[in-house]
Amino acid sequence: MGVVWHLAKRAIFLVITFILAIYATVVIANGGGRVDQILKDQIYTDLKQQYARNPAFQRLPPQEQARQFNISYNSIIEAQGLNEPFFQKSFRYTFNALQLNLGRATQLHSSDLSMRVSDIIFERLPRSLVLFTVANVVAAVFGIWLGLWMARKALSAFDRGMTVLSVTTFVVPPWVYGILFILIFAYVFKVFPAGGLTSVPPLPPSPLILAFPPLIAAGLLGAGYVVYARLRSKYRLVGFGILGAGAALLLVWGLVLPADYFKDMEWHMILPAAAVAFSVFGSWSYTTRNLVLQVMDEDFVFAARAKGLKERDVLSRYVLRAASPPIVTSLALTLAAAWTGAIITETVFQYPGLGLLFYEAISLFDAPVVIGLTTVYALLLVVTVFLLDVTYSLLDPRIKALRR
Amino acid sequence: MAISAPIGLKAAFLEAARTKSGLAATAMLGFLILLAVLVPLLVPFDVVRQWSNPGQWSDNPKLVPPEWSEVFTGKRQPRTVIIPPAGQSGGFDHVRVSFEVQGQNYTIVVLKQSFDFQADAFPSEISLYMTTMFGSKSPLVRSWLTRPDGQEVQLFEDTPSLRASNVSQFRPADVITYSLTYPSFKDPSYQVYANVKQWLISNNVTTSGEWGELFPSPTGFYSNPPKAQVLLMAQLNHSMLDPRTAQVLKGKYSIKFEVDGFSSVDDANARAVVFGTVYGLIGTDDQRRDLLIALLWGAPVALAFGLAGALATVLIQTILGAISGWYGGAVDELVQRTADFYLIIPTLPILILIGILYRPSLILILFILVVFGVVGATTKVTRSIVLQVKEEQFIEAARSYGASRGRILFRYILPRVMPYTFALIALTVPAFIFLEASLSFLGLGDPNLPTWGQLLGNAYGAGPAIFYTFWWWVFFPAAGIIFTTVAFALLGYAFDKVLNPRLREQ
Amino acid sequence: MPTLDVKNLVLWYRTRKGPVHAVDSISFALEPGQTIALVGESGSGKTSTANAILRLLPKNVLRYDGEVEFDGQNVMELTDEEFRRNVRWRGISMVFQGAMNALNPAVRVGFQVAEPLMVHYDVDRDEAADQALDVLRKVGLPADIARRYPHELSGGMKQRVVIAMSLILKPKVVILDEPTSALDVMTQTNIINLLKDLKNTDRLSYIFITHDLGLASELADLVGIMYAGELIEVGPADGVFVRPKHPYTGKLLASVPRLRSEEAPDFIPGAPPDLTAPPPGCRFHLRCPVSFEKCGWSAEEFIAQMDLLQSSGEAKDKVPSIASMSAKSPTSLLIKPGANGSVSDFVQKLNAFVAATSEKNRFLKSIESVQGKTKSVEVKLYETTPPPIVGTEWRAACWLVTEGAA
Repeated sequence: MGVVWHLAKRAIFLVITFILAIYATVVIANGGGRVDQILKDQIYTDLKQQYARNPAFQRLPPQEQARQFNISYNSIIEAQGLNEPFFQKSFRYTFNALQLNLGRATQLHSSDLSMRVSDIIFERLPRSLVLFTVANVVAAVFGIWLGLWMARKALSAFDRGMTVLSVTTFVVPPWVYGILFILIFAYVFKVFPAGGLTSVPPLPPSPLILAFPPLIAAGLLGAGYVVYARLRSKYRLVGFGILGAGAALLLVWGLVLPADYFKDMEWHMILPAAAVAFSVFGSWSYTTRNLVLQVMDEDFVFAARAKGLKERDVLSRYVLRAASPPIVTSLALTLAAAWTGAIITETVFQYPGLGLLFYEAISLFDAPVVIGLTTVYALLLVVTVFLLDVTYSLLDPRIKALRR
Repeated sequence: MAISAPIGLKAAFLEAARTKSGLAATAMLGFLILLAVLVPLLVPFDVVRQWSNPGQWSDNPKLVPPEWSEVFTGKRQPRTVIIPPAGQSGGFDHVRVSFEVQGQNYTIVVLKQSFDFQADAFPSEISLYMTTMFGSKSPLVRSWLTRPDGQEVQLFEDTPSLRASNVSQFRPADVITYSLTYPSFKDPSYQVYANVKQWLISNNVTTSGEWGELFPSPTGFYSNPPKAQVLLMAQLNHSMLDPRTAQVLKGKYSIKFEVDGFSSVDDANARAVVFGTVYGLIGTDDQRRDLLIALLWGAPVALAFGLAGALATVLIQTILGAISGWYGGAVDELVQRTADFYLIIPTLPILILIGILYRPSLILILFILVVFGVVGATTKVTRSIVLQVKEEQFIEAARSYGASRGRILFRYILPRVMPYTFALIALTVPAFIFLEASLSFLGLGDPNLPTWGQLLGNAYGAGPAIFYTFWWWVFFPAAGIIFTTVAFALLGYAFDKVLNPRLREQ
Repeated sequence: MPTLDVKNLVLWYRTRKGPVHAVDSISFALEPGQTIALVGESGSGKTSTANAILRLLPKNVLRYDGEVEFDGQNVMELTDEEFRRNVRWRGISMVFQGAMNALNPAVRVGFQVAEPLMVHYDVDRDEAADQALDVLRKVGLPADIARRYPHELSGGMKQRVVIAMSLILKPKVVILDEPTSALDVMTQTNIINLLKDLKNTDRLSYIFITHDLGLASELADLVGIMYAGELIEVGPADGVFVRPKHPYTGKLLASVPRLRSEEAPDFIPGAPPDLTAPPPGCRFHLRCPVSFEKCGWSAEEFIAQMDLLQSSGEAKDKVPSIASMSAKSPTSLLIKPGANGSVSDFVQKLNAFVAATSEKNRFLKSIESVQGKTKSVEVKLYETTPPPIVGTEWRAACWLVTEGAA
């Protein structure tokens, strides 16, 4: 009963927060009405120039000129809904956004020239989703693994070195690494393209199936490692084989398979993904290390060791289980935040995802796109936060005990 | 063996400074602070205020690497040579003769000065500047370059229409610029190509046909003009036609102007700049600005911005977190819900939006960042620490002798939280420095004050190819940001180590 | 043959302040079915001794050696993996201090009790659970408890679970690390009775770590008294508790408050020494009521005590006035007499003071000679070594204890 009530309360609260956040964005995205003024000014000057070039218009008497000018100016303003007071409009915008009725862009369009905001956003969304999910998951997996290793060798030279490396790398944002990586890998060594989604002009489209070799290879590498490292020795050879297969597939994909649209796209994603991963893994390894060391100090871990458990079992069955709730929380929140697409990272790499879209929309004062993007972001975050709440409520007794 | 964290800010600081990372951080920060204090003395703020004023930097070579980079090329690179106007020491020799023939006044002015050129590479650019004073009719201005091998090459001929009121002062408003390297088609200095062509043909270095093939100009306009400074200063043989094979002719060059005027008031003055290929400690950017100035000023700006922002947000967050944890109830609920609200609204996009709409100054950016940071991670951390400390016996004791809740909060609880706060401040400084850099990178920073982020943004905005060729433009500002943030990260880490005794050697 | 024979066990930790001598050359032997109580103040190295026997070492170990013979085999020679597989829990198990923390909050109690069976004997899950139920029943818990989480149990129940966990592999030796210190008195008694029963039925050997002398006397056949990382006295319980040989044991016994006794409990002045720099000679000499010249006062301790004496009001007029003191070597120091005091005067006064008050201020007994120099007085102290451990069945480390003497 308590759980349901708690969740309902949270849900109501999150909905209210969501509405407030959307309204705040509507107000800010329109600069509190300032954007309207900018647009009006733009229309005014455009119209003035248009008329100035019209000789017929020039011959009219000044009063008639002013009258005609005002008529066409007002009709444009009205057609674009710029004459309504902003205060009223803000509620209309918010209401529409909440219904996910995102409207039409004023300037931007998708690659097939649709100006519907949802079309524009959903064209870009998968790109950011893939890039930042892959980068963050890779960074998280590597970071957690490194953190566990550091905790196992706590206070050794390896641990100290890696801790300093982690702490110093994660304060630097991905776009700075982006710049340096572009400098090094795109210009000095010329291994990766400097940016963009694909080569220009893009390679001919290929069947979707060709997008998967690297993912399959990554899966094989992960599974192979798990089998190799975690299972008993007789399976080691099997694990080694799977690892080898993964590596071989990766090599074949990279070196043998002919370049195609997806390979080209994935090739373009490597550098931005590496920049994101490099700036993120440190916080994973550092927090994992500290969490694990903290849990390792608990009496029940000491007891497990005294019971004669292998060090590896102590780590996985006792330490990781206790340390995982905070890790899962931050993974979920980071992912939700990462999907919003790092604006500057995508700008640096000219990667046409949500982040670059946001930047373009803001630069062009395309308020409907800005509001639409923010709505999608906020929705992603709200859903993530709520899912975390649900998870914790279901696991409640044990989680509470763990948090003691 | 339980080892407790040191209590109190001073104790924590002293212990943190003793760890290796703390030591490194203190050294790095000490260097930065020293720099921040010295920079305003070395490079006055007035110089920085001129950052966006292109006239201020016109005597610097454009986009050249630092002077010490000649170690890599192994060649002696030329430094910029400036020949000041007549009347200044080392300036042009000025000879003026005025005479009358058949009731008509004539004036002849000759301006001449030489410079010694001993570098292994050609200058990046040559520019000549003139002021002229004349009566009703513009004078005829001609100029020549005399080379160490005795050859004299005419550069251009002009009848200037800009009339100076006073040539001895050489006021910027009166100056006509003749660029020999980047002349525009309608400039008189565009004649340099024709003159050089003529000179080379008459010396049998090239033929008209070859020249036309190398530098096509069917309408007199060169789509790919030769580098005048190379042709003018190379050894006179066929190899000079290709800048890659041309050999520098070392020795004494002299520049001469002759002004034939048609009144008795005519006079002229000149100035010449032979731009080097290296400049200063870290080179220049595409607007000829000395990057060193921006790099140096970046330090105090970044430090001040980062520290002010981090101090303000972390302190506000700490106090809010402490209040929320200590008083609980409705206050707690309010703070927690505000934190959730801030989690959901997208901060950086909104900041960028504000940046585009209002072009805020650095102070305003700081203020907005603080407004968006009144609650956050620190509030949660502080709250949980306070909830822990709240249960401790000394709080109970204080309560039992009747201390007020506010008093306990400020006298007992906040001091316990302060060391953590300090660690968080150190770890938040990088975030602020990078936020400012992010905005500047997008061109939304304070336009009147160069920051490291702005340098990076300028470099990036100049085109991606800039990255590789003009590494100094990217490398030094990036290094500055990373150095500073790493220093703070190390300091925060040192604190963290001291405050979480499990994480260090006991 | 003893089940467990510990000889010269040493465990030092490395810290920033210097090495901590947590366990310094400890020896004792335990016959099957026998219980030894290790008693001492907190920080005296009891728990470290237990950890050293089970080789549960923190990362900052500096020195770990000695011999631990278990069932006739020196287990110190085993590799970590062999030790984990053959000795830990199978041979020697442990009941932890603070049961609430020793149980994993996120795992059901039954699994935690059964886990060692699966780890050590490859027993499958169901069978292990059955055996765990047996053991849980044996310690007096209902069967349904196995499916609960630790936070659903009371303190006493959790303690029983931890005991059940320690018995699951039928070990020969169980280390009880303050098994009852967090429980109320009634529960304590229940647990102690349970432990007594188990000892009798299973012929278990206990190493019972406690600071509660009352409980120790309930369960123990042997008593070991620990002070500053050393086992200063070990012997049969009925002997040690009745006629202690070491002055510290005496003081410890006297400090136990007794119900309905008019006598106020005695206390031991001072605090246990810093284990990073244990005192020379006998480690207890600073607080010992009967210390004398052989007990090992160093020049620095002498100066500190003298300072203390000077600043204490009661002896102010009697202490000869001193301007400054400095240690010259561990066993000699220079004293500069205070204003308007000549050196010879000072020597006389000091000698008189020592003669008068050395019974009360025992550090003065360490003075071997006082010599007047030109401007200062040199005080030479007796040189000593730590007291040897004397005796076989009943051993003590004190200069006052001699072979054969009581």
